[in-house]
Amino acid sequence: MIKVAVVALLLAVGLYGWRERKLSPVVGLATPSVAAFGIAMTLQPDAANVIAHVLGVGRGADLIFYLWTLLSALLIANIHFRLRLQKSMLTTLTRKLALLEAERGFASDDR
Amino acid sequence: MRGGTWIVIPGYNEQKAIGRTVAGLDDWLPRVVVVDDGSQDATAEAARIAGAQVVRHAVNLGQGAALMTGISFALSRGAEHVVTFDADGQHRADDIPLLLHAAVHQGADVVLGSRFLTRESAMPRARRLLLKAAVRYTNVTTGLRLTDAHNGLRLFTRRAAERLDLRHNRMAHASELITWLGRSDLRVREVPVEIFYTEYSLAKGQNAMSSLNILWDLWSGKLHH
Repeated sequence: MIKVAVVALLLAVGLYGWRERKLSPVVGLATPSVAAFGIAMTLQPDAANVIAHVLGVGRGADLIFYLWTLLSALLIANIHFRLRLQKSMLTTLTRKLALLEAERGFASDDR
Repeated sequence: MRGGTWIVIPGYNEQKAIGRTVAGLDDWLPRVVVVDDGSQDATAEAARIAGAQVVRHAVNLGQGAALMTGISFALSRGAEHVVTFDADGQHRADDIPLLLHAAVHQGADVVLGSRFLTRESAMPRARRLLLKAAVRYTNVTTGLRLTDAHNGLRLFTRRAAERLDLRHNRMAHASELITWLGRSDLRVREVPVEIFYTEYSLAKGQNAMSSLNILWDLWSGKLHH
C-alpha cells in the first residue's frame, strides 16, 4: 500500500518537473529522470542494492536517500526560478506604472 | 524639451546626496531625470526641489531596473544621447562633455567612463583589487578590452539605448551590460573620468559579498528562461 502512495507521489513530482521544462530545461529533464529512477527503486527494492554497488554507494537505502536529496534540490531550484519569473513580471509592471505616472505629471505640466 | 542629452540618475534612499548631485548638473537641466527606486526617504522630493524630473518606482527593484526606467523615460522625451550618472556624488559633471565628444566626434555608440585611465584616485586597495579582478574576468568572457567594467558613468546614443534591455535588476546589470556590448556590433569607447570617494559613497558601494551575489545572479540566470 505504501508503495502505491510513493509511486503516485513520484509520478506527480515527475510530471510536475516535465511541465516546468519551458521555464528550466535542467529541471524539466532531471526531475522526471530522477523520479523515474525512484519509481523503479520502489518497485524493485532489491535492485537498489545492486545499483548502489555499481555506483560506489554502500547501501541501497543510502542511494535512495541521495536521490531524495537530489530531487529536493531540483524542486527548490524550480521554486527559485518561479520566483525570478514573478520578479520579472513585477519589474515590468512597476516600471510601466512609474512611466505612466510620470507622463501624466508631464501632461498636466504642459497644460 | 525634446531631443538633446539626458542625464539619468537612479537613486535609492539618496535624500542626503541627491540635491547636491542634481545641483552639480545645472548645466544639463531640465534634461535630468532622477529615478526614485522605491526610496523610504525624501529622495524624490529632494531631487524635485533641485530641479530634476522625477520618476518613481512604487517598490524597490534595483539599480538595473531604475536605469532602464530612466532610459525609457529619456527616449520617450526624444533624447539623442543618454548619460547614466550615480546619485551619491562620485561622478563629475565636467566629465560628461568627454563622453559626448567620443560619441559625436569619434563615432562611438556607447562610451564608458574609466577611473583607471586617469591618475590613480584615492580608492581603497581592496576595492581596487576587486574591480581589477572583475575587469580581467569581464575581458576574458566578453572579448572586450576594457579598463573599468563597473563605472556608472556611461553614455548611450539613441541607437544603442533603444536596443538595451537589461534583465538583471540589481548590481549584476553592470556585468550583463558589458556582456551585451561584447556580443553586439556597437562601437564602444572608454574615456578617462574621475571618481570622488567619500565615506558616504564608499559605504554605499560594492564589497566582496556583493560580488558573490552578482556572480550568483549571473550564473543562476543562465539556468532558466
